[in-house]
Amino acid sequence: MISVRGLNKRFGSLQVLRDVNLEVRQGEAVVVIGPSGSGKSTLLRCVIGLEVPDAGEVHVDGRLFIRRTDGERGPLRRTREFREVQRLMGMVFQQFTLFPHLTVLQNLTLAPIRVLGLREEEAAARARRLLAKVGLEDKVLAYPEKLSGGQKQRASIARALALEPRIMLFDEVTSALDPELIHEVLSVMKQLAADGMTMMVVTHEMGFAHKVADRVVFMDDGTIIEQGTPSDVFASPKEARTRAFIDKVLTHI
Amino acid sequence: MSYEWAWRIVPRALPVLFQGLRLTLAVTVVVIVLGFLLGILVAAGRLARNPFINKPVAAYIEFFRGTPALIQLVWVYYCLPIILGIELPSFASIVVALTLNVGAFYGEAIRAGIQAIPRDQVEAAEILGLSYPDRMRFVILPQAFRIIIPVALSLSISLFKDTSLVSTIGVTDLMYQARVLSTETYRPMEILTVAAFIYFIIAFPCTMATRVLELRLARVRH
Repeated sequence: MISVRGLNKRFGSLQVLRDVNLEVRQGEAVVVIGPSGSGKSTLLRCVIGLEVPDAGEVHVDGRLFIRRTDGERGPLRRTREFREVQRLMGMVFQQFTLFPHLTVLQNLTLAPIRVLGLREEEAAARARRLLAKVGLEDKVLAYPEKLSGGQKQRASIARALALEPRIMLFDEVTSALDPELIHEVLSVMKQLAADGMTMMVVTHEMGFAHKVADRVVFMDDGTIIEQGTPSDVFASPKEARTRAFIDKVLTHI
Repeated sequence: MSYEWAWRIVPRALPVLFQGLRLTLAVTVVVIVLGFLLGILVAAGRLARNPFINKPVAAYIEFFRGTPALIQLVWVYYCLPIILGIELPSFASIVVALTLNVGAFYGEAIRAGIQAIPRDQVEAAEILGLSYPDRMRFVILPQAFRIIIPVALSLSISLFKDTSLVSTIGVTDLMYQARVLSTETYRPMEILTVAAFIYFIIAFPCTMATRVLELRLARVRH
């Protein structure tokens, strides 16, 4: 469903991604873990076209999305094909990105109306259905400022789903949340995975990775060090760096 | 030192001053409208990626922000006819000069407002597939205007007072009438005090309204 090949990215003199290759199959939930600054978020941002790689390719659903060869510069060309492929993916960020001047409902209907050309009633019906699914049916007409962090993230997930993406990307969506709100967001994501959504999740929530991931990918220093089923990676990591990271994060539990 | 105030001349002066006020208000309104439209273009030019657009626009902004409005006015009124051979009627030349002046300030206020929108708002809108015009219209500008409007209002209040500069080139605004009356009556202190009071009576409620609006707009964020 997603195919990342030979991805390289540097910020100035800092090499953030080194020749990353990754395949995500349809219906698979891939959780990317690793220390801060290992390139997890940059990988996600490259996959959806928010960040321009220096070299490499991204294919989505069998379609070429991004191809860069060394030395190529400038922003990505947002062709019709590019926008169509980009729309196969939805993304939720660490920061709260609901539009603060719009109600929750308007946040969810804006893109379906403007991008998909839905009629207002259709878009509203779809939005209400999705908000019910994430447990926010009573917040339809609220403004984002009235929501808790967990509610904001759930609404953001619903907003992304309103465009009916084939793939969902999650970039540390619980990192800015108070601990007691993390669970409600993770359970929405868990449900999504159970429904068969193809997902790429960057997170520090090892419990979530363990329970929900079909495959865990461990990244460090811009490369994928190791990947496998959660039980393999957590219980018997092959690489020393993976073991060191997992020991460190698991001792806290 | 004792000065004998002669407030009795005020009733006679008021009708003439109000006549001048009408022109002052006309200039202010016309320049606010034109200046804001220019400001939108200036902000767009300043934010353009093309250096052949953003560099000259930046130079224009710095020039008009960094030189006295009075000289800009004189320049448009006296120098343009000499250099270009275009002679503008005095009302038109003050409108041109003041519009160029406030356009630079509005432009910077609008640019700052747009750039104050967090990057992840823009990215979220991009990921949702919204086109550039749609992102501007539905996501960026509505948020930016909450930041821009209070600034633009206080610039407009300053403009209202700064229009008094036009009296120097013989435009019969409130200030001009006050100066003429001052010489005619030999009572500049009384007349100018009254003129200042008229400016204040209009500017002060606007300032208060701006403050209230600012507080109200600040509350509706995040």
